[in-house]
Amino acid sequence: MSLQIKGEPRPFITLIAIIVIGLFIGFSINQLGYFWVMLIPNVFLLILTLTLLVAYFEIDETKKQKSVILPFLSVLVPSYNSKSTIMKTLSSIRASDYPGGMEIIVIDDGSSDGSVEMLRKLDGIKLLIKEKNEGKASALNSAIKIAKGEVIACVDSDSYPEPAALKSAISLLIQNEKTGAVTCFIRVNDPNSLLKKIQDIEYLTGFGFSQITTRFLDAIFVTPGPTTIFRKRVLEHIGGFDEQNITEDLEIAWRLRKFGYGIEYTPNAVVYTDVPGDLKTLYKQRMRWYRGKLFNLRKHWDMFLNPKYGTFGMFILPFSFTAEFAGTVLSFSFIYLLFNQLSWTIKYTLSNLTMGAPLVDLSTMVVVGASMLMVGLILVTPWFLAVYLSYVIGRKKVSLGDIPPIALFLLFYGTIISFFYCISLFKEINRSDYKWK
Amino acid sequence: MEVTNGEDTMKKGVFLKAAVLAIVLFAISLYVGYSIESDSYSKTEAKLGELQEGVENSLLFSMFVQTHNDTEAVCAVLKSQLDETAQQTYNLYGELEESKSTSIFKGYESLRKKYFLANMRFYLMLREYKQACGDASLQPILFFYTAYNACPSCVAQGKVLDTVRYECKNARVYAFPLDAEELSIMKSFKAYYGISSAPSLVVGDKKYETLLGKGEIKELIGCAS
Repeated sequence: MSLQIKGEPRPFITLIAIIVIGLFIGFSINQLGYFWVMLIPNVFLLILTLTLLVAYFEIDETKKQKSVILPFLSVLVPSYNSKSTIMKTLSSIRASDYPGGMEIIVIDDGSSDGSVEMLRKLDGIKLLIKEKNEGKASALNSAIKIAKGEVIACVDSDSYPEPAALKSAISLLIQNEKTGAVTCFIRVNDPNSLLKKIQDIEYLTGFGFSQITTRFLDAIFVTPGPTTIFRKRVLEHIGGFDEQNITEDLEIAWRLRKFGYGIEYTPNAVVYTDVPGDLKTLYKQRMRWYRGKLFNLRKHWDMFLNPKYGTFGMFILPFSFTAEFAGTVLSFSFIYLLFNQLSWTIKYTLSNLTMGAPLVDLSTMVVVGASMLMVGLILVTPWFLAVYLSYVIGRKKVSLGDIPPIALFLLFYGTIISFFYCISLFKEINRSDYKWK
Repeated sequence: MEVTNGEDTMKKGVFLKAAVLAIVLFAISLYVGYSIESDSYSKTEAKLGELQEGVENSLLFSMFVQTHNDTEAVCAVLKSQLDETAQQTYNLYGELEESKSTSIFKGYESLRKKYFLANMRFYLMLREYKQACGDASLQPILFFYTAYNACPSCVAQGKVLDTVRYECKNARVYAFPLDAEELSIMKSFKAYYGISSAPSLVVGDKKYETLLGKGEIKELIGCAS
């Protein structure tokens, strides 16, 4: 059985919520103007970005690590119908420069694509076969029980660690007994299309710049699914992964914090992962991420604005949810503006039709003034800087070819993601079913 | 690059610095935006000031015509003045409405009111000129409109009037923002022509509350195609 979120749908409440929010935003736009309404959520995001930027420049790079003996490692690779990618994943793991010794455990979670037969023929891996598909968290928990390593690396079957990644991450993990997990620098594998190139920038900022700065603030938000390193005893202490959670990687990060464990990050542990190549797949992925975030907020509500959890509870957690707030306000504002402009253009065209005048006249389409443009451009500069620093962290040079995806990322991608945030919020309100294999 | 733990005090410093930066950046952006708009507003205001000076000038000429017998010479000067200001007046209509629709800091109501009054004076002067100088060739067109974003058909009608003005030397278009702050003269003016909606046109003292195409307007003012 695959993992499902099931509930009694609440279409009436959802409809009321949509109407109330829509009316409120429409009323605000009429009273204040769309510029000010759309500016408010962006100010919250600006404060978040500036905090991370200041944190970045406060990071002390001089502290040296102690030399350590690397422990035996268990690499867990949950696999569900991953015939096309898992061989590459296993090759990457085997190519790791890890001197402490390792075992690789592949957990087949009820695949039906013939990958099991393929995996059976492989030497040097332990294969754990589950008859039914029970979800990634369950697969990982089953493997933790049989893992021999003191340290566990959870690697997705479509992710490819660089040879030095595991060594870098584990060296950091064992520096401090209170460290429960180390997160890696997740990068996009083979960004060969525009959508993937935009996601490449998103991952550079999200798993590079954001992770390094939230690490400094001791407030890492997520232990990314593609690859994270855990101490086995810590996983056992906190009860493993939550099997009823669609974003088990997010949930476990919050739970580690609840149990008082630290989460580290190193940009030297680079792991490449496959990302959605089309909008439909991206939408599905993001629904899982954003709904999972909302679901976990309900589950761990006690952490929200709780000083016990430091910067994480008081700042990062509340501010991360401004993304939902911003997404909702921006989505409704865009819809309002779109309908407004559409109805205006139809009336204008019909008027021209009545008078026999030319139908299209682009000079009438001006909706953004020079002052609006200037205010917007100044406020977007921290994001430009954050993207640039993400390239620095990723040791990547900004080439001319990167400029179009960067521009699209900063100007349009956020709009698409806003709609995803907004939809995920209403799906959560509606308690829509979610099924994740 | 490995990251080290920050001290709590240091973290507080991070938030403080970020808050100050956010305020500074926000203030700079608003200041720059406000300055750009103020500059544009001042330019429009200056143009309106020039128009108002033109009105005063033309009014004096008009009085001159009435008090002197050298009608021919004065009428020639008056006509050239009316021609010049008519161009400026109408251009200002588009500029004013476009600025209003994209403005985030400035209210353009006061300028629109002044614009209404200037146009009113020009229109009345044109009537006086026609009467005093016996010139029947000039054809005034009164164009009543409301704000750009609220009235797409006003924009469409305005574009048609642009073409008419360009093609017909005898056309004189006077634009009146119906939704400008209420003035007693505006109420009387609207009541006189029975204007209740926008866009509306008055051509040859006849009111048209429907959209008029280029051909129809040209026909009404006797402008050959």
